[in-house]
Amino acid sequence: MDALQFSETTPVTPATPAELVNLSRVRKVYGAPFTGVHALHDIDLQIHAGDMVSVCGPCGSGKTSLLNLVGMLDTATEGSVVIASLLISKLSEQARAELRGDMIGFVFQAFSLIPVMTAHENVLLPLMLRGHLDDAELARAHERADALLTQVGLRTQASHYPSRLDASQCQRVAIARALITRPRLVVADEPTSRLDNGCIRLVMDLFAREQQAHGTAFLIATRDQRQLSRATRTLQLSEGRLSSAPQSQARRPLRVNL
Amino acid sequence: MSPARLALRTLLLGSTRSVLAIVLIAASLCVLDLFAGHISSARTRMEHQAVIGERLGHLAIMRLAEPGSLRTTRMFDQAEALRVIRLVEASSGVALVVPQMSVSGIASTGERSALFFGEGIVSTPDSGGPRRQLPGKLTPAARNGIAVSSKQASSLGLVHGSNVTLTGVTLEARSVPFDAQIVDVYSSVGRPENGRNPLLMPFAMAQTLLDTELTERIVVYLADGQLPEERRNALTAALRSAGIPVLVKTWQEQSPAFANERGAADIAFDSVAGMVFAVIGATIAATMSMNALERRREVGTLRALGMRSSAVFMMFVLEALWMALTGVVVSLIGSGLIAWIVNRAALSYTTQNALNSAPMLVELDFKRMAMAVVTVLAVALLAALVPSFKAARLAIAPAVAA
Repeated sequence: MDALQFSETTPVTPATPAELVNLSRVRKVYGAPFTGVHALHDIDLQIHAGDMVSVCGPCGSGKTSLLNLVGMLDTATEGSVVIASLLISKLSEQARAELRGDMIGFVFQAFSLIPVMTAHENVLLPLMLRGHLDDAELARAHERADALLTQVGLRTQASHYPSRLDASQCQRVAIARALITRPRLVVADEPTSRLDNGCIRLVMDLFAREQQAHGTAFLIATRDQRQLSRATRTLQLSEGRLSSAPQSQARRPLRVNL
Repeated sequence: MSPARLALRTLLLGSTRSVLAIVLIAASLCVLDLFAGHISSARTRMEHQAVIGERLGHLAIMRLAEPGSLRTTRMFDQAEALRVIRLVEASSGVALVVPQMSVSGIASTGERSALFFGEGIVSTPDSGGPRRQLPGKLTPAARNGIAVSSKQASSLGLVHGSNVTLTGVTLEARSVPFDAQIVDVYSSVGRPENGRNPLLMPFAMAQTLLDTELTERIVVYLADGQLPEERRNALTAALRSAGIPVLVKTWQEQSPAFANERGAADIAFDSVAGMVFAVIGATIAATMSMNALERRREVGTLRALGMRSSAVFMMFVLEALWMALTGVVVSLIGSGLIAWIVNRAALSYTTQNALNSAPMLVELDFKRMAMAVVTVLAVALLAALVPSFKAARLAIAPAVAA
């Protein structure tokens, strides 16, 4: 990521070195400004390296909208979204795509695996999309994909297509895919919704290891109490508003079951 | 993974719709290839009929004269004819050079009479090549021996050995009778109704009937029959540089039947080709539109994972091109197979007003097939542009949530 050069970079001043995300007075309206649906109101949020931020709230509270803004999948109607000291609204579509590919891992609620690729290839996909990899890089990528699939308990299903995997397995492939690039931020929408207790523990431990080893930050929309208990911060969203300021949330130490 | 590989993978492992589109493209192209092959086969038969059957030769050399000049000034004298024959025989790729003389008049058996159209020809030894295939055999020893087509023989009640009186009109408009004997009745079965089935006579007999020692034209049979236009130009230049003013015509230029057939067949082929390309274009456009619509989440995911919109555009365009290319490959295999089966099956067909059926043969026209391939790829590219552009411009967040 550090090696990336963006022609349209617009550094925003007061970001601390470890600050990855800074949302300031962000609003998101779907449709016309006055008659549309107001999904988010005046959101202020900072995420630092190593944070594990959980967002909870009822259906329609704006969790996915918030994740889309942080993940640069959507743009804010008002306010500023700063990712890695770059003002997103000033970046071109191409620069945003590069930034997403290099910095952010996604776990989508519906898994969104590519149906014509095996589990192994789906995990490798974010690296392959970066462009040409030399032989050594390719070998390392395959090793890492194998390792991640093993860590999520899918070593023997690596060559299976998504149509042959059940929902739990698809979700774990999606989680492995999100981590393959060693992203600085993982945006996950209900990443454990289809997992049983054992798999949830497996995945949360994997997240915690990435967090500790690489300083990966996580922004997770979830209703799962076990995930909420592992978060360093928990944000409550209700009707598009954060019910308490994130800075006021007490940071909890990380717990890793190794 | 490059957009090209991803597009190919999607096509190979993708939806039934894509497979059906490939089948439709292949079937449409097969129809076009086979139709072109049938036209090519018909043209080959027409070439054989004109060059060999009607003895037009691949090229005919005539003396050039001022327009409106007497007919005699448009013929070669003996010395000129000999020079031309020697010069042409010395050229490469020439199989046979023979003089010819057209003559017409009345043929009468005493009981029946009919107009005849005759050709004075030089009897050549049957040593293979065009000589073996030329219809009608004259006997060099019989100076009054003639050959007639089976159709003429039937209308005049002639058989081998029959006598017939030919009355020709000389260049000075005098009538000259000549007693001739039938030495050969050649088959005219299978020849087109509008084709010429001339009465064949020795070259000297034709000169006698016309009361002249001139030669009307010199017919050239090429060894391979290829590129007659280029050979015509080369021969014209060579003979003119030798001081002989000549007009050289190809067999296509001499055959009105071929010119008519070519015009009709070209219109028919262009119409079929237009329909085929329209069907292929509509198929690809519809398939890619549906693919783009159904794969919104996949596109959104790829974009979210870092794929650029230009790469998405390329992926869809390449998928359409792969689809067209796969259809092309299948069609080539299918056309070859069907052509082989049709040719082996020895099918025949009868056109309106025809007395005899014609063989249905397919000679694949590789030039037209290559043009069809290029056109299909161009059509696929154009048909995929709008769906690909729409897919590339999809908003990511709603696409992922779709």
